[in-house]
Formats: sequence, C-alpha cells, structure tokens
Amino acid sequence: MSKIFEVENLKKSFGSIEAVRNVCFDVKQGEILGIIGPNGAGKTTLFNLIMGVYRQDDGKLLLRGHDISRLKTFQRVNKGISRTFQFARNFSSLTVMQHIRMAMLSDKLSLSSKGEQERDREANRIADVVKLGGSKSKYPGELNIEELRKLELSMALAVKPDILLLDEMFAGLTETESKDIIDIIRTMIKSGDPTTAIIIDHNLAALSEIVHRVVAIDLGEKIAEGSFEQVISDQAVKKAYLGEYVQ
Amino acid sequence: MAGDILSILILGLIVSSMYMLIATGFTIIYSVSNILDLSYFGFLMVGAYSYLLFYEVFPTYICLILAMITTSILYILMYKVVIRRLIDNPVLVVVMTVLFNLVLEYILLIVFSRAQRNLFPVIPGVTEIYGTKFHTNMFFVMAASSTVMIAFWLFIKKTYAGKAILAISMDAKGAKLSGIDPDKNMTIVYAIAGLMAGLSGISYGAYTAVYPDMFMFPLIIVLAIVLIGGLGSIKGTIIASGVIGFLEIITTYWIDPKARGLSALICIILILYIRPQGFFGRKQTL
Amino acid sequence: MKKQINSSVLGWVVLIIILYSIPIYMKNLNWLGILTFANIFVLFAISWDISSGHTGYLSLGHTFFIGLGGYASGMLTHHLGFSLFPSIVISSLFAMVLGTLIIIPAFRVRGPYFLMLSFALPLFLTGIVRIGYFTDYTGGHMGLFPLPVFASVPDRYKVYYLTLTIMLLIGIPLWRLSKSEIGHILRAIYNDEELVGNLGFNPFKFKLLAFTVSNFVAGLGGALWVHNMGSVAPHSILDLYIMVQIVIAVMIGGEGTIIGPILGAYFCVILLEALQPYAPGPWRLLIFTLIGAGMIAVKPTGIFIAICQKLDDFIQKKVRGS
Repeated sequence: MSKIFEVENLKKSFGSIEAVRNVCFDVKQGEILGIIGPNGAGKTTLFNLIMGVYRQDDGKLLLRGHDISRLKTFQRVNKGISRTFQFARNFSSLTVMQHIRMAMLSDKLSLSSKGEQERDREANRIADVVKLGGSKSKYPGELNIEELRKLELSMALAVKPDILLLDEMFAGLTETESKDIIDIIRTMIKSGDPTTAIIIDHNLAALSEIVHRVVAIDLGEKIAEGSFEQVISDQAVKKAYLGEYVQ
Repeated sequence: MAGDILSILILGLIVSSMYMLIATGFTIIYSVSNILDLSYFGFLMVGAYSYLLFYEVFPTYICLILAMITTSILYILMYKVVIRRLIDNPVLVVVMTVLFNLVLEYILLIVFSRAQRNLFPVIPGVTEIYGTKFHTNMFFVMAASSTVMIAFWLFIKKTYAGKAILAISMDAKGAKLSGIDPDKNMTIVYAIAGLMAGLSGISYGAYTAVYPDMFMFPLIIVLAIVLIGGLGSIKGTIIASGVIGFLEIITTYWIDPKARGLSALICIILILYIRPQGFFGRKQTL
Repeated sequence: MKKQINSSVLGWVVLIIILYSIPIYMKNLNWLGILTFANIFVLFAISWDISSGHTGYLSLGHTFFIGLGGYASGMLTHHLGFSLFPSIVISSLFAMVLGTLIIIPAFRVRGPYFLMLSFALPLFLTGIVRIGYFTDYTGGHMGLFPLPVFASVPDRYKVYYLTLTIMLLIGIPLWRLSKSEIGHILRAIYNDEELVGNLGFNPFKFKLLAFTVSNFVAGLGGALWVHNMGSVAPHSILDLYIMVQIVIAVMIGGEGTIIGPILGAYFCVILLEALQPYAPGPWRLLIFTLIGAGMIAVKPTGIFIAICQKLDDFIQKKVRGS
C-alpha cells in the first residue's frame, strides 16, 4: 500500500501556546487511521492545519507526494481531501438533497443541463450510502443529531475525496447510532469511495471497530503509534488520559 | 507659531477625548453582544435635544445630568423593546437601527425644524491661553469626557457588575455558566452606553451645533476610529481617537475648515487598502 | 404523470402583461413618470440584492456604485457631448470596473468592518465631488445640469417603455442567475462561508462575480436615473435616504430572491408617491420608514416572497386537485 498522505514536522503556535509540536505521521491508501488524545491535545488543530484553516508555522503536508501546505482550503478540497466538523455544519435553508447536489458541483460550474439525470442518480446514491434516503427533502432543522452527522458525511463524500477527515463523528451518539455510522464508514472504505480516512474521536470503542492503525497525540506531540491494542496499552497514552495515577 | 502649535495641541486633546467617549459607548455594546447597534448615534441626538428641552426650565448642570439620565433610560427602553428581540440576527439589527435613526431624524425635523440650534454651554465664556481664545465649555467637555472614561474603567475593573461585563465580552457562554445573567448585564451595558451617548451628544452639540441629522458625522468618526483601533479594543480606541482627533484639528486649522469630515473619510479609505482588519486587529477584551 | 405548472413563469407573464399595459389604462402623466422612476429604482434594488442580499456581505454604500454610473454619464454627456446610449453603456462598465476594484480589498474582512467600510464610500464620493479642485468637472454641491434626457414630455410613454424593457432585460437574467447553482452557492456563502470553501468552492470567486454584476447594474441604474431626471447632484444620488429605500425594498421583498426585491421596489416607490398628498415633507418619509420597518419586523425574510410562495402553493394545490 502506498502512502497517500504525509504529515512532516508540523508545527503551529498561537502566541505562546504551542498547539502542534513537530507532529509526523503518514497514512497509507486504503487504511483508516485513528487519532486519539485527551481534550486540548491538538487534534482538531491538526485537522484545521491539514485543511488549511490555519497556516502552519513549519512543516509540510503531502497529498500523494504533492505539497499542499500553501494551498487555500477550497484548493485542498479539490485536490482530494474533505472533512466533517466537530459541531455539525450545514445550510439551514437547503434540503438534504440540495446539500448533496451542491456539494457535487465542481468549482468550475458547468452550465449545461446535460447529465442532469446522472447527477440525480449520483445524489440519490450518496443519500443511500449514508442512509438518509428517506429524508431527502427534509431541512436540517427537522433532523436529529445522527441524521445531521450523516448529512455532513454525505457532503464530504459528494466532493469525491481521496481522503476523508472525520472530526468527532460519534460525539453525542448512542451506541445504536454509532453502530449505524460505523457500518456506513466500513462500507464506504470497502467500496473505495473514499479509499482512505482519518478519524478523530473520543469514543474508543467505536474507533476500535474500524481503525487499522492509531496515532495518539498529547500536548501537541505524537506520543504513540501502532495498532489499536498497542496504543491503548501504551504507558504514555495511559498517563496522558489518566494523569499521574497510573500503576 | 508656538501659539498655533499650542492651540492645535489643546484643541486636539479636547476633540480626541470627546471622540474617545463617543467611540467607547458604541464599542462596549459590540464587545458584549457582537451586534452593531447604530441607534447609539441616534441617541446622541436624544441627549443633545433633551438638553435643549431641559434648558427651558433648569440650570445647565442639572440639564446635563437630566439629559444624560433621560438618554440612558430611553436607551434601555430601546434595548428591551427592540434590540433584545433582534439580537440573534445581526443583519436585522443593523437595518432596524439605521431605520430608527432616520425615524428619529424625521421626528426631530417635524418637531424642531431643520434649523441648527446652538447648545447653551455648561460653562459659558472664553478662556485665553497664550493669546488664543478658547470656549471654556470645551474644557468642560474634555474634563467630563475624561471623568466618565476613568469612572467607566474603574467600574469595569473594580466592581462585580463591571467584571461581569468584562467576562461576557470574553466568553458569553462561559459567563452564563458562572451564573451571570446576560439580560441583566446587557441592561447595565445599555445604561452605561446611554449615559455616554447623552454626554457625547451634548459635547458634540457644543462643539458644533444641534441638528436633526447630526447622527451622521459622529457615525463616520466612530467608523474611522473603530477601523483603525479595532472593534472592542480599549487601547486601540484611545490611540485611534487621538489620531482621528488630531488629524481633524490639523486639517480644519491649516487646510480648510469645511474639510472637517474629510480626514476621517480618507483614513477609512486608506485603511481599506492598507489594512482592512484594522491595526489592533481581532476583537480583544475590554 | 402529475400535472405540473411552473408558477414562476406564470407569475412573470402576469407581471409583464400588467406592467406593459398600465399606460393603456392609466393616462395620468405624473404617475407614468413615477413608474418610470420605479423601473429604474428596481435596478438599484436588484443590484443590491444580487450582492448583499445573496452573499450576506451587507453594504450600506450601494449609492456609491450608482453614483459612479450617474456621474460618469453626466460628465460624458455634459462636458464631452457623448450621445446617450454610448454614454450609458460606458458609464455602466466604468461603475462595474472601478467599483469592483475598490470593493475587492474589503472582501478580506468580516461583516461589521465590511459594512462600515462600504458605508464610507458614498460619503467619500460626495466629498470628492465637492472638492473645489474638481467642481469644474463635477458641478460640486449643485451638480451638473441640464443633462440630455431621454425624451420630452409628450414622449413619456416612450421613456416608460424603454426603462421597463431595460428592467426586464436585466431583471429576468438576474432572476435566472439567482435560481441557478451560482445563486445557491451565493446564498450558501451567506449561510456559512467556511463550509462553502470546504465543499471545494472558491468563495472569493463567487463574491467577485456577484459584486461585479451588481456594480454593473447599479451603474446602469445610476446613468439611467440621471438622464431621466436631467441632473446629477450629490444630495440626490448619494443620499443615505436612497440607500435606506433600497434596503427596505429588498428586505420587504425578500433577500436573495430577486423577484421579491422587484415587487418590493415597486411597492416602495408607489407608496412614497401615494403618501405625497397626505403627508408633507418629513411626515412622508417618517410614515414610509415606519411602514417599511414594520413590514420587515413582521416578516424579516420578506413579505412579498412569502406571498409569492403562498400563491405558488395555492396554484399547485389547484392543479393537483383537478
């Protein structure tokens, strides 16, 4: 499996706070990488750096070997990365279907109405993948939290990314709902659409079901890397989560 | 020449302190609630015109206090009746407050007519310094503005209510969780802003004159101050008020008395090109 | 196959028929002049809608772009003897190019700053126009007059139909733009600009498009107005009062819909004129502003577009029922 994404020596400070300190890891095509760490460890900052919300102080981000660290967010999305947000974001005046259709549009809009049927089919397919087939004409105001997360997922999928970044997708979900999402993610990766994913979450049980590998972050630094079992039994990780009271 | 420079210094200080007061009242509302309440400038007019009305009956010091209190009460009313309902929709706040200013202007036009009025000075007479004559009232304006600013600063730093306001301006959710009631605090903020608006209106009226669309000029000045100094930064406001105040005095003194607003406008346009986010940048705490 | 009827097209047809046939039934020349002005005012309103109304970048300086067009055409015709049609076209392009260049740096900033910066623009233009240095060209405080007008009194019908046709030639494409995918993206920017970027769209590109189109139409409106009135002066074209009328027209019509602001614009102009005999001077403006504020407060998303929506629902129900 080839490396599809690489983070090299990433550094970012906000004033005197070093949010990300020399983080390095890579992601292979076809794998699901989990990123865990206590609150305030710098995980979401990492996502924001990858997506271009912040400009890194130092380091490189390589997507399929190309350095994307100087590109604007929308350019990175067009190169093949998309994300969901920690607090579900959407357009309150659009229906689910309209969200998906908008996300499907490329930046260079085609004015022709040819392929209209094809676009419809694709939008319906995406809605089905995230299991929102029955809610296609609903507005975000009418959706519950699980459905809102699925809506976000559908938009992130519709831009046809090579890598999908999922930021705390399981936050606030019950076990049944989480299982639903896990299913969706597994099916997505298996069908290669997208091929690869990076998932940040606190719900370790959910993560354990889908990730191939895990990176643990604390205080802006990578403190462990490996399989799920390896990482959660790592002393440094335990200490980071539980403080000094680890035997 | 030395007399000229002295005049400019003195006038600059007076005008800067006045502008600083005007800008601060507007800024504290934004800092705490994130809305642009443009009706503040309308309440400057309320202050000035109520001073005029009270003057029929009371001596000047009482007029001043009464006008400030009246403005404050009416501004609180404005908050409770109008602003509070719109607070979730910043676009609507701007639109409605602009409309409010115009409605106020038309009402004033109907009641008072277009004529400019002169505000009777709190302290009449003329002071002479090194051969140049100044309206003594202007020194009163400077003293009053500075006193209110210092009182406000002490209020923010020393009293519970003041610290609560500071907390909300930093983090509304967190403040609520600490038991601070946002509505009660906004009321206090509006009370303070109302007092400032009242005094500002009277000061500005004393500096120029009182007329029904006098909300426009201070609006432009505060625009310039806020763009240079950043919304919500006290340090920025002080420095920017100084810049704008002195620029205005210099241009009216040496270039053209009619060019009064032009220096502020040019600053705004220049900022547009050099640094649209202002010099003191992001919203800071009070 | 359920019978479906496109009520928007029906609505447009009805509107067009009404507007074109008004002069046949109404012979009052004064009102014809008012409606002529209304046709032009619609251009002011929809140009503000396509930019501020769709993207949410509220500008209170729209009269600046209108004024650019007006002054350009005024000066071209008055000083350089240009004939009307080329002058208007050039002025519109001038407003578009210069206006957009001027507003581009402001895109970098957040809402409140954008609002404040834009608010200063018409004031700045007023100042420039009145500077002694330029008054030979701009006519200073008093303005430039007389300017070539479209036609003299008996031909007011021609002017009405001309402005009406121009309004439709601009309004219908703008409406189509608003309903297109580009329109959706613009309104999405209003909703959540960062999310739009995360869907792979370059927000700057779309804002630029919206404001470029807006400035062209505003400039066109300004030029037409100036020649309809026969003069151009700062207090007429650059006044805050015009800006407020535009905002009221768009808000009561419905931001981001184009058709709403068109209806809102006609409503505002007609209302103002209707108040004339009953309410002198400031009373007229006071009542108008209060009515406008009231209508916005009752339905911030736009009364007229809500009416259109209800009509559409009604028609769809009828069609499905038969």
